[in-house]
Amino acid sequence: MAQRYQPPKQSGMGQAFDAILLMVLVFFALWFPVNYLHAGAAKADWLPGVVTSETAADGSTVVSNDKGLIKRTAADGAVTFENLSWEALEQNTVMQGQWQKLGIDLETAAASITLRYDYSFNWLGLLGTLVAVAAYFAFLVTQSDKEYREVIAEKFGDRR
Amino acid sequence: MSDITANGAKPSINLSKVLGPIHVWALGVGIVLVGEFMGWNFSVEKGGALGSIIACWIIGLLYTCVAMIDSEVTSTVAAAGGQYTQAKHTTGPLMAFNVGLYLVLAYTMLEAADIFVFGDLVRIGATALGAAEGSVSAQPFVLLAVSVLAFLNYRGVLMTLNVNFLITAVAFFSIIILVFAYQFGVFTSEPLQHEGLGMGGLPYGWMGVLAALQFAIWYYLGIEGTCQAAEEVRSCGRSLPLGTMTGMITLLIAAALTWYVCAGTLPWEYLGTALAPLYDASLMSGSNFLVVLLWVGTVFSALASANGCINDASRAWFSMGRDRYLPEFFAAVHPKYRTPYRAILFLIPIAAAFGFSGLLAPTITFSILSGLLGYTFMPINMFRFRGKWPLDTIKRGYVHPFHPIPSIVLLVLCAATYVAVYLGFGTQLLAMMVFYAVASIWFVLCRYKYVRRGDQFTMAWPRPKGY
Repeated sequence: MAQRYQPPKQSGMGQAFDAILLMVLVFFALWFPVNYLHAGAAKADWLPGVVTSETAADGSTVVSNDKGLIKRTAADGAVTFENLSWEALEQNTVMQGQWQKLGIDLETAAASITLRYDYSFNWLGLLGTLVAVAAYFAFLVTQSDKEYREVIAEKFGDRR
Repeated sequence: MSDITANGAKPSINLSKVLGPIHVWALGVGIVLVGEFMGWNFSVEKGGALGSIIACWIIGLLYTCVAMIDSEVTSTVAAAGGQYTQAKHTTGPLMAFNVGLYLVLAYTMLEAADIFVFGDLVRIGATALGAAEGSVSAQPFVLLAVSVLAFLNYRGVLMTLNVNFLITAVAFFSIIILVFAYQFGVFTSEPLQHEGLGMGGLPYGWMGVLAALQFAIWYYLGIEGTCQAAEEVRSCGRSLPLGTMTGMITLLIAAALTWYVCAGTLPWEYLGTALAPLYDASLMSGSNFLVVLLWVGTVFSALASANGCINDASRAWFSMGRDRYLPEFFAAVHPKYRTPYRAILFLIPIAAAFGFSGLLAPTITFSILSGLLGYTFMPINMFRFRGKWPLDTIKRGYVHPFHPIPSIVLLVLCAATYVAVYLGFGTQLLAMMVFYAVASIWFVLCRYKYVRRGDQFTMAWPRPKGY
């Protein structure tokens, strides 16, 4: 039988420190990416039909489509439209009716309709992330297995 | 409760064995049902309405695999801590520490999101009753609600889950009544208009369906938490499977009905960003009765979820303290109320702080990712469980069919969901992996020395094969 391991007694201060440390780590993991790593998928301008995009001399972004709808985003983020209508946004009468029932006007609806996620991504980044997840689990399983052998040896005795 | 503690001695005070199947149902559905009232609809923003329901079915398959694997292992390892206790027996202390953290953080973050939504609902309700916009602060109401839930949990598990049963049932029936009203023209003459609202298209193609997997988890996230009640149910072999399976059926019905009524009333671009889509669907009906009912249903679902999360997070934290994976201060059971009161009181202010942080999307993502890491552990758990104790070596309450297909499918779907999280919150995914890696190193270097080795194995099983 393996010798029974006697763990040390942890002081009250040590226990408090450990609990607080863990929670500080959690807060940091939440707060850091939001403030420094631009967490969250990016959205890009979108219009129905064939779209062209350019940057104007005043720094604003101008996106237009083949039906004459133009979306202009100023450097300070203010958005304006030209030739805006429900039809230009490809919203049929049912959709128009529901937007209006929600109390949302054409300009406000357009701001949400003309933004869509950009799912382009870096293959290398994706591969690196999946490898990081796999490496994390590989570390857990191998390190746990070492500890598990100690548990089994103490519980059931050394293998003969 | 299993009367065996980490140090091998009988504890002087145990958790109360007072729960039945309806409490298990109330715990599981209570935690998850809020996902139908808010959160699932972010999958619509990711992939459109049709993409969302396809993602809902795919994630339903993921949870079916989870349920199959969990049923076999939980029916054999029935103890508080659920998957945490399973990990101790099949894989080892470090994995168990991580699984325990997944459980605590998934539920604590979900609780934070719940109280955040509750606060917003109070503001919405006040405005609807005539208060000037911005004149009502949600924070005092949130603190009051959290204090009442904390007192309930402190006071005893039976009352806590009796309350959860009642408010969860009201929330569930509010969905049924809303769908019934629209479908049969009761209380409202407004029709459901799926075709007119263009719900048949995929605005982002199949890439959007993949991205939607991240938030489709919200339809079911937390149902596996029913096994946290294992030490407090009167008949574990009967109550846990019955409560969990009826809970899963309830959620499948609720998810389908929720999508059906919301996709038939709201433009998908609005639905994808709405705070409380079912409440918004009721607003479109023009019926005051339905609006009040859905406001109450949404509030009750948020409170039921927060209540269940307090229960589950504290049980996992308590179990880890009892095994000294965390400070043993948290292993105390209240002498009169038989609840893990220190774990309850410690975690509540932390959840409140997350709730007030204003970081709703990262908080939800942390909860989802912690759940996802837990699901990734399950195939590892299953392979090791079957490898160490083949079918004829120990008595199992349930043996799931087609092994290893569910484990392989689960692993593939988890990988697909990691890709979805990467598309939406790639940097946060990496930050959380760093957090769990740092926490693991901290456990190995600083905490494992406090753990009594042999006491980690409490089941009356033979020596595992190969060890």
